[in-house]
Amino acid sequence: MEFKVEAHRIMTISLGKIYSSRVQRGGIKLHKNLLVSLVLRSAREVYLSEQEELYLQQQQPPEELQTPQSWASRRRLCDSSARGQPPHGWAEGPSSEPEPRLPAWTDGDRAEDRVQPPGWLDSRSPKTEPFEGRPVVNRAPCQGPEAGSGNTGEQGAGCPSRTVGEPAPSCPCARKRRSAGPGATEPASPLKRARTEQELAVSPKAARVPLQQEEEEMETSPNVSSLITVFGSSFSGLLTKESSEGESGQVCCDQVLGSMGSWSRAIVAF
Amino acid sequence: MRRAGSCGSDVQWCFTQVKGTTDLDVSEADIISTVEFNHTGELLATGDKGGRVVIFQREQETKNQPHRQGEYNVYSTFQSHEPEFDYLKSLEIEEKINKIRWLPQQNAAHFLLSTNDKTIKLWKVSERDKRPEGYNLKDEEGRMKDLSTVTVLQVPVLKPMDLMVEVTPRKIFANAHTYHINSISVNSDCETYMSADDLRINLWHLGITDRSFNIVDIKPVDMEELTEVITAAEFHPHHCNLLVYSSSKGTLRLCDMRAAALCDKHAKLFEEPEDPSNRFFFSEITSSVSDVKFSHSGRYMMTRDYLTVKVWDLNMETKPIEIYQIHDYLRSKLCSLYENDCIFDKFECAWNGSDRLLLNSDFTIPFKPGFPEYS
Repeated sequence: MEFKVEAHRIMTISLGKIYSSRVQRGGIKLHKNLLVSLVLRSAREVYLSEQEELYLQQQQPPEELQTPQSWASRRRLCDSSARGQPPHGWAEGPSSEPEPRLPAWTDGDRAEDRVQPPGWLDSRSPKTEPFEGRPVVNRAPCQGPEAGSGNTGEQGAGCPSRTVGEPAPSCPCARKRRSAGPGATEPASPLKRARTEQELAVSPKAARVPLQQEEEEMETSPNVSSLITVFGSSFSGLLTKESSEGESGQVCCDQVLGSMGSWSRAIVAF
Repeated sequence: MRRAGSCGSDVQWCFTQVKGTTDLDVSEADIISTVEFNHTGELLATGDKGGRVVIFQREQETKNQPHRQGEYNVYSTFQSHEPEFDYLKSLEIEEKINKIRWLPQQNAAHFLLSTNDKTIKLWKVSERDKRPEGYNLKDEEGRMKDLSTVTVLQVPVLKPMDLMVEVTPRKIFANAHTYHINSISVNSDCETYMSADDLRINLWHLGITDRSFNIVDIKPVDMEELTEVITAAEFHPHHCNLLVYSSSKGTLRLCDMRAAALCDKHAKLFEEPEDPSNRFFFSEITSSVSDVKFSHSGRYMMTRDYLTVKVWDLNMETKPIEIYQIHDYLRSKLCSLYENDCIFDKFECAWNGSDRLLLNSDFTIPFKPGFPEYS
C-alpha cells in the first residue's frame, strides 16, 4: 500500500514539474521533460499494478492470487513493461519477455487475444488487429490510457473506446479497472468518458492543424492543445499561472490517474 | 573552483583561489553556468546565467612576487548574450551561457565561442598596450584640427599605454537550432565546429554564418516515439572526421563524417548492457550522460552521468574499461533529489594534460542535510 502512496506522490511531483516547465523562462526543456515523463510512466505502472492487486484481493480469495508479493519483483514487472519500447506510444507497456508472475486473468486475456491496440489518435474498433500484428501482452488488454482513458470506474459498461455505440461484452479490463473504493471514482467516470471521447475527437484535429501551420517548431502545440482541453474541462485553475498550483495539482493528479492516455500523449510531446 | 580527483591516491587537492562569493544569497544572474580553460591554461573563461563572460588570466611568474604565480585575476568581462524573445513561438530565449570553447591560438589574439540556447557567437579577445600618437589631422582627444594650424607634417608614433583588453564579436551563428543547444566543439581542423541540441547536430564553418550543415538528426517522425535525446557531443582531438555524441539513455555513438553526409547511422555504438537486477526507479535519469570528453591521446573517452564516471576505450564498444562511483550513497536519496530537481543537474568531466587524472565536477553535501552546495 505504501508503494501506491509513494507512486502517487511521485506522480504528483512529476505532473507538477511538467506543468511548471511550461511556464518557466526559456521554454520547455525537452531533455528534462523526457526524463520526468519516464519517471511518471514508471510511477504510473506501479500505481496501477497496486490498484489492480488491491482490486483482485477484494474479488478473489488471497490464496488464488498469483500476483508478485515483493517490491523487487513488482518493480521488475514495472521495469520490464516500462522498458519495452513501443514504436508508437509511450504509455503502452508491452513486453515480449514472459511474465510468469502476472495475475491469472491476464493469461486468459492473452489467450483470447482480445487486445486493444493502443493507438493514440486511434479510436477504431477494438476488434481490429493488434497493432502491427504484435501480440500485445498487456496486463490490461483494453488498457485504456491510450485508446480510451475513462476506464477507471466503469461499471461494466466496457472501455470507453468500445462504447461508441457498442456495449462491450464482458470486458475484463473494465472490471479490473474498477477502483478499490466503490464510490471513489464512479461519479467522475461519466465526466471522464465524455472528456476522453471529446478529446479523442479534438486531438487528431488539434494535432494536424498546428503541424500544418508551422513546419518546424518544438511540437508542443498539438499536445498542448489537447492538454489544455483536458485541463479546461476539469481543472480550469491550472490554466491560469497565478492559480494555487499546489492544491489543484493534487486534485489534478487524482482525476488524471484515470485518464493517463491524454497525459502521456501530452507529456510525450514535450 | 574545486576539483575532485578520482584517481591517483598520492595526489593532494586543495583550493588555491576562490573567485566570486560563497554567500548563499547570490542573484540568479551571477550563477556560473560554464567554465573553460584555454589550451595553455593561461586563460579561464566563465559564463553565467546573466549572459556575461568573465575571463581570468593567470599571473606571470615574477621575481618580485613569486607567491602570486598561478593566481588568476580578472582579464576581461563582457556581455555575450542578451535575453531575446522569439515572437513566432512566444518563447523567451534565455541569455544563460551554456558552453564556452576556446579556439586554438593562431596569432596574438584569442578567439572563443560562446553559446546560449539558440545562438553561438565568436569573440575575438585582443590586447592593446600601445596607441598611436601624433596624428596630423586629429588632436589628442580625437577632434579634427583646424587645418590652418597645421604647419608641419609628422609621422604618428606608437606609445605605450595601459593594457586594454578588447573583446569584439566577430561572428554570430544564429537560427540553426530548434531545440536547446547543449554542446559546441571545435574541430581539429580549426576551420569547422559543431553545435548540438537535443535532437540535432549541425556543422559550421567558422567563417560562414548564414548556413550550417545538419550531420546528425535523431528526431523521430512522430514525436510521441521520442525515447532519447542528445546530451553532449565532441570532435575527436586528432581525426577531424570523427565525432562522438552521448544520449540520455547512457549510450555513446561514434560517427564518421566520411561515411555519409548525414551521420544518423553510427560507426560505433558504446553501450554497457544494463543489468536488470540493478535497475531502480530513477535509473533512467541517473544513467543519462551529462558530459563526454576525449582524452588528449584520442584513444579514450570519459563520460559522466549522475552517479558515475566511466572511461571507454574507442576499440571496445561493449563496456567501459573503468567505472568510478562518484557518490553511490546518493542512491537511497534519489527521491528527494528528484523532488528538489537536483537529480537533473549536469556535471562535467575533464582529462588533465597528461591524461593521467580524471577530473569531474560534483557537489558536496555538508553537515546540514537538505542543503547541498555546488562547487
